[in-house]
Amino acid sequence: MTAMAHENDNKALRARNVRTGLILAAIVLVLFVSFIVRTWYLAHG
Amino acid sequence: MSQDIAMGGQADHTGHEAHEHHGPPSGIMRWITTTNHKDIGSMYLWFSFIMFLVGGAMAMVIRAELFEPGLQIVSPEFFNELITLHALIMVFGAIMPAFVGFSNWMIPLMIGASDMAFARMNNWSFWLLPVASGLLILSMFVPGGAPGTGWTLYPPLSIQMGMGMDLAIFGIHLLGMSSIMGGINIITTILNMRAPGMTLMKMPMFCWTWLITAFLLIAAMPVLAGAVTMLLTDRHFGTTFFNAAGGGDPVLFQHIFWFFGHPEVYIIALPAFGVISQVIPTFSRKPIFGYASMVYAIAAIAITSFFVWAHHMYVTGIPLNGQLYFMYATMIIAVPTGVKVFNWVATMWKGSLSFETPMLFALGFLFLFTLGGFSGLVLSLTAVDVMLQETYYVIAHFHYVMVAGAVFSAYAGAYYWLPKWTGHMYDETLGKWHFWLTLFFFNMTFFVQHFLGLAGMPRRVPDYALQFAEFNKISSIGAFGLGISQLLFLYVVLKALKSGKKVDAKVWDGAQGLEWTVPSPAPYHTFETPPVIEEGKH
Repeated sequence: MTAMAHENDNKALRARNVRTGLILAAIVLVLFVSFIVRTWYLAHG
Repeated sequence: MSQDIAMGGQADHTGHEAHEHHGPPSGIMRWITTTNHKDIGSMYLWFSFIMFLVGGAMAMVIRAELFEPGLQIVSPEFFNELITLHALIMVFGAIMPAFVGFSNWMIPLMIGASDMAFARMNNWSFWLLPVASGLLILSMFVPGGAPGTGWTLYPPLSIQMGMGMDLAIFGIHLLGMSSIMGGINIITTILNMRAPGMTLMKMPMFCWTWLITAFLLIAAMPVLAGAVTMLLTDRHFGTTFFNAAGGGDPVLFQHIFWFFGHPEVYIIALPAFGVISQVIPTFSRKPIFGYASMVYAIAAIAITSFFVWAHHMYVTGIPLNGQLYFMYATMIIAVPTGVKVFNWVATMWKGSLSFETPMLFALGFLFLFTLGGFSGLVLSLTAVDVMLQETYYVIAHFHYVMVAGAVFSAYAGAYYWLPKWTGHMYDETLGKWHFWLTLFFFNMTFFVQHFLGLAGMPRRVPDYALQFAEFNKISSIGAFGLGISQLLFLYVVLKALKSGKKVDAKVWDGAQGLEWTVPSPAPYHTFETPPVIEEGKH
């Protein structure tokens, strides 16, 4: 494998990692907020 | 530290073509700034052991107070603080970081990746931990002291306590952030960075358990973070989520806490299962029995763990149908867990067994964790739990799960991989002494607590009636022995680092997997060029 091809592979992998990480972080954020909102309505609904 | 020694063999490994190898910076900056998964794994492991000793010291004070009836050593308030901090430090500071340490060290080596997916975030995940643990310990020294609520932080007490509770809440926030970042890192690493040819169903079982555990972390930790955030706003910002005076509901906190809390048990248990699933095949010299069924069992346990939370709440007035549902759902978890225990035993069946220290700890785990599972089934019965809840039976049950389950498994993993990390073999005789002393004193401490619980001794109280005196004395003597025995492990590790016999790449003759193809100690950089995976091998 040439050095340039290796670097392109690394770039693609990094982009894929960031995409996966952001999706997982979004799930975390949605869960965090939705539990607080839902609890408020359960307590006061 | 192990990595200092590990550096000795760094230059000679696998496929590093054009890369010029550079070592780490020296001194303290190496550890503060490192993004290397092995360095970070080592830091997690050392940190977890230090916290294990801190939490253990708290347990010694608790057991010293309980050595005889009456109040002798600490005030009841301080006793409650110790109970809270012992639990939080052991769960979040000792056990979880130990398995995260294993995951950092071993997952990239097992799947043929060069490092974790987010190496800088990995550094941050670790360094949040000492800060968070520092906040928890600091809470003991502020006016009003540390939280005296127990680790469950139930309101209304947690709303009424002093600023120590705020420190604990911030500490838990940071611990949660650390775990969530760790979870994201592990999922991304496993999904995206496996070597070519390493399909998911070829991964070592340890990686499978961590992949599923990481999803549990992603799903459970935001719930805990939400719960303590709501506690914080109830305490300081005028909300009334859990304050009945403003129309809120304290029992709602219990639902939310245990919606996190029960999966948390499996966040600890599943990686422990993963370690055992690596150790038993190695010392049976056979592949693991029922690989696919093991994977499905792990997934089934993880999913089911989200549907059983109210078995911690049978006496809070939930409807009878609710109690029955949670009772049956809890019993169902025993089925996939039973599959795993069966498969471990079947792996040993007709194997060429040998009983080195990791295998002894794995067998100790198998026997005692199953016992803890059985007492869990007893507690799952609503009618029985009404009598046993808040007694020492519960304490005995979860220490069989947490200590004999998680800690025994952590020791199995530490002895199993220590030669790979350090390049040196530990003293087998001392390792065996460590195992037998731990096994003996563990049972001396906790088995008698079943009897105390059945006789009605309440938990979280520093005094007790005279009829409980004998069993409490036995339990306390066992606890002191258990605590002192753990120092032997520290000596074994230090002795191995200093003068242990050098080992080859494949330390154990029955071991399989990529991690055993790299030299011992594992070089600072590994698999910069992905390895080739043979067809048909797990």
